[in-house]
Amino acid sequence: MKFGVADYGMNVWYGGLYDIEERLLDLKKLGFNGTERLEAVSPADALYKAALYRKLGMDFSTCRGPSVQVTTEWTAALDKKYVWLTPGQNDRDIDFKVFCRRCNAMIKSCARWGVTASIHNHMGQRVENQKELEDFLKACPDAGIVFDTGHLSMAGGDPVEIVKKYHQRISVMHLKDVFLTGGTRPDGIKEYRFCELGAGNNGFSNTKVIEMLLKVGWDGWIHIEHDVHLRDPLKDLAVSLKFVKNVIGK
Amino acid sequence: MLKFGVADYGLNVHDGGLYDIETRLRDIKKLGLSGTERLEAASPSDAMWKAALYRKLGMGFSTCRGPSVQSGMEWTAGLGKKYVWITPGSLDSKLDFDTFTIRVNAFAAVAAKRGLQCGIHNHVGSRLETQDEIERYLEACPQAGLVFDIGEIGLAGGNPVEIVKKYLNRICAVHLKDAEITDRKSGKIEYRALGSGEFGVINRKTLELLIKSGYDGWVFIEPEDFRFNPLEELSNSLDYLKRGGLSIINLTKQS
Repeated sequence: MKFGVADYGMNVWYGGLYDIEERLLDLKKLGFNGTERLEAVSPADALYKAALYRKLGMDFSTCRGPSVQVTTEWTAALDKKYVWLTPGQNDRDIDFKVFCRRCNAMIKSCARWGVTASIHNHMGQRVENQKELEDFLKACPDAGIVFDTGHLSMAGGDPVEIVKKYHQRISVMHLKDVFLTGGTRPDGIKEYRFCELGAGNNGFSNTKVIEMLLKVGWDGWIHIEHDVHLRDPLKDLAVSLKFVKNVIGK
Repeated sequence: MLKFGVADYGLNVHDGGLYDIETRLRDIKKLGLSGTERLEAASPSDAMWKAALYRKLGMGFSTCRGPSVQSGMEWTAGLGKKYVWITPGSLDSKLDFDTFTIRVNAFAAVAAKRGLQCGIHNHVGSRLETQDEIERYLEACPQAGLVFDIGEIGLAGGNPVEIVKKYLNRICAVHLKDAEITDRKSGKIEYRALGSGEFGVINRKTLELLIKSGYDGWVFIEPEDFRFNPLEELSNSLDYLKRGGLSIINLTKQS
C-alpha cells in the first residue's frame, strides 16, 4: 500500500497550491508517499511535474488537467489507473438515471484509454449514501470508486460493508473522520466537520475499514483527506498517518 | 510480468525511418507483441501524447528518448519508466576505458537522482563488446546496468548465461537477436531472424535461464536488419522462441 494526501483541505487552509515541490517535501517529511492528483495545465507541465515527483521519491495516483479529455489522456500517458468521474452536473438535483447515463458515457471513453473512471461518494452530491452508491455500481458496472469513508459514514452508510462487497471496484481510498459539532442543519442533517483520524465522534472508526482492506488483500493508495483543518494541516496529517500505520502495523 | 516487444531500430533501417508510430504499434500488436522499447519524442507534449496513444492501443514501452540526454531522463522518469540507455558521448571501441567509466558513473549518478536505472547496450564494435569488457564495466560502474544483448555478446565470443548468473540484478532490459558470420576473416556479419543464424540456441537458453531466475522485465527482439518482410521475420522469431518450449511467453491478445 501507498499512503498519500488528497490535498484539497490543504488548499483550503493555505488558499491554494502555490508550489508542489514545497508541498511534496513537507508531506515526505511526515512519511507520505505522494498526493492523489498531479494537477497540470499542459502536457509539458504534467510531464515535468511527474518527473519532479519521481526525483523527490514521491508519486501520485491520478492526474487532472483543464478538460475531461486531457485529464484522461494525461492520466493514461503517465501510466496511472483511474480518473475521477466528472460527468457535468453532480448535485442532488440531477436525475439519477441521467447522471448514470452520463457516467457510462465517460466510463466508456476512459476505458478506450485503459483508464477506469471512478465515482467519489460525497455528501451533497448525487452519490451520497450507501443505497445510492450500490445502485450506482449496478447501473455503471465498469465504474470504479474513489471511496470516501467519512462521507459515507456521515450519510449513514457502512464503509466496512462497502469494502467487503466492492473492494475490487475501489480505485483508491479516502479516509477521514467525522466530528459532530452540535446542532442540526435546516435540512435535518447534524452539523459536522471532517477531522483527523481518531478524533471523530460520530461512532465510526476507520480502524475496521483498514482491517477489512487488509483482509481482502486490497493493495492501492490510501489517501488521507481532511476537507477542513482548524490548525496547521501538517499536524493533522501526521496524526492521521500515524493512525493508519498503527492499524496496519507498519 | 515478462513482456515481449521490439527494439525497432531494424524496422527503421528497413523502412528508412519511423513514419507513423500508430501503424507500427498496430502491426506488431497483430504479431502478439506488447510494445516497442523506446518511445521517441520531440517534446514533452509529444511524449505525453504518444504515451497516451500506446496505452489506448493496449501497448507499452520501457524507456523514452528525447532530443537531449537530460530530457530523455526527465521524460522517462515522468512517464514512470525504470531505465534509460547510457549515452555518455562517444562509445567508440577506441575510447580509453577509464574515461568511459568516469563518464558512465557521472551519467549513472544523475539517473539515480531521478529515480532511474541506466544501462549500456553491449554491442559489437562499441566500447562494450566482449565479456571481459562487460564485466570490467559492471565492476567499475556499480550504479550502471545493461541493456543486455544476447546476440551481440554471442557474436563477441562471450557467454551470456554467465552474465545472467552473475549480474541478473543489473539487467535493465534484454535484447534477443541472431546473426551469421558470413566471412570469418573480415568478421562480416548478417543479422537474421531468431533461429536462422548461429545464435538461436544461445538466445533461447539464456532466455530460459532469465525466466527461471525470476527476470520480470521487457524482452525485445532486435533484428538489426531484415532480409525480406520485417513483420514475417519478427513472427518467425517469435515462433522460434515458442517452438523452444517458451510457453511462458505472454503475448498481447490480438485486437
